[in-house]
Amino acid sequence: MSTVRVNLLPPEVEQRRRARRATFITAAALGAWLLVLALLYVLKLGDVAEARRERDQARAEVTRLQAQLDALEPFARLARQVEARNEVLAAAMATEVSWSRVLNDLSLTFPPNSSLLTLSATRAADDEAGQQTETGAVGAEGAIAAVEFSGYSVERYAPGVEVVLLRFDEVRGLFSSYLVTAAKELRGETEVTNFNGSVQLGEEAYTGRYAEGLPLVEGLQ
Amino acid sequence: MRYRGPLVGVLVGVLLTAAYWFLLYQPRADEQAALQSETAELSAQQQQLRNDITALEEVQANEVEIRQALARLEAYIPSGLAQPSAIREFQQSADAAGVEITSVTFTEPEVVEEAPETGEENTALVAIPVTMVVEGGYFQAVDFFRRLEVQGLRAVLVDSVAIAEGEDEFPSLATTWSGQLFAVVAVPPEPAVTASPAPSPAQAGP
Repeated sequence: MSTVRVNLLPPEVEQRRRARRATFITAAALGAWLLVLALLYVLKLGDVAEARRERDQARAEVTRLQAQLDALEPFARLARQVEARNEVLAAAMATEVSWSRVLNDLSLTFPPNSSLLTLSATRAADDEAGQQTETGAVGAEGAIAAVEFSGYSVERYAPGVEVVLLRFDEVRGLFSSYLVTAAKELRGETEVTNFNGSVQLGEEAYTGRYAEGLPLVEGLQ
Repeated sequence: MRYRGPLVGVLVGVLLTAAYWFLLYQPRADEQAALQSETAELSAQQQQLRNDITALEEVQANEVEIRQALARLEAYIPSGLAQPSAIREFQQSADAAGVEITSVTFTEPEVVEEAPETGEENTALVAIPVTMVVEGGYFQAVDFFRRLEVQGLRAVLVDSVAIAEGEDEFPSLATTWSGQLFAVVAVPPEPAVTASPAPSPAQAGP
């Protein structure tokens, strides 16, 4: 048997009840939301504290390492001294030419029927920046020194003087030999052909020995 | 009117969330980011310091060899003009090569412009121009140059070489070379640049 429920209360009472319920649900939801926010905030505070702790640890480690580095300062000074001296040596000797090698190679190459009487080699001047300039002779691009020579050959112009010029160009570092004059001459009782001219010395004559300073200290910081 | 309460609630929630975000959460998030950034910088600094320490510990471990290298460097380019040792070295090289030094001329040292820092305060690299004439055979002269280049303790930069018949006639040759020795010498410190004082009103012109 079914029963019929009849609300005899005025409708305003039901409306007020619904409104109170909605207000309650809203307040509860708002409170829950605030709780979530508070929880998130607490978690964030934990993250911040963790980040601060890590920062403090890193800072302490830096302080410890810095103290360790400070204790090694005498060695840092030593390393700086060596580095500076290496740089000074490399800069000072950057344009070193091995004249002993040039002269030795020349003696090994020079034809036996000829003889040099004078030889004069002058390195081109350094420019304002300390870099060496070229000799400026025609056909002597890349030359770092001009070599002037005079001598004689017991042979005639050819093959005597011709071979001398060819041999000059065979010497490592020398190129662009140039004859200025050649003439017959009586030397003692022998007729010879004297000559004078010039030849250029190229960049390959640089030793590069000091490019890194002293080899023993190469690789230092 | 039925939804006024929830609407007000939602509005209050939005307002509170915004206030929470801007006044509470975001400042903490910024603080955390700043701390993490600082930590990252400190970690990089630590790595740099560790690298420096490792390098210096290597220097420390090889101190003897490095001091020997420094001594060699200071022999190549000494502190001070050190002419006596240079002359001794020239003489030893000449004797060993079999040439005779006829003359040696030093001119005034000159500061090398554009030279690197010497690593010592108030010092500079100077070049000492030198010209020397030696008498001897061709191969003796070659040997003399070889000794200057590779056997000498002092760095010698030979700029020019001139070989001609010597006074004793061929095969004796007079070899004239000119070049430079180097030294690190004390130089007066650069005067500090100070701004000229402004004229006082009494000194100022009419």
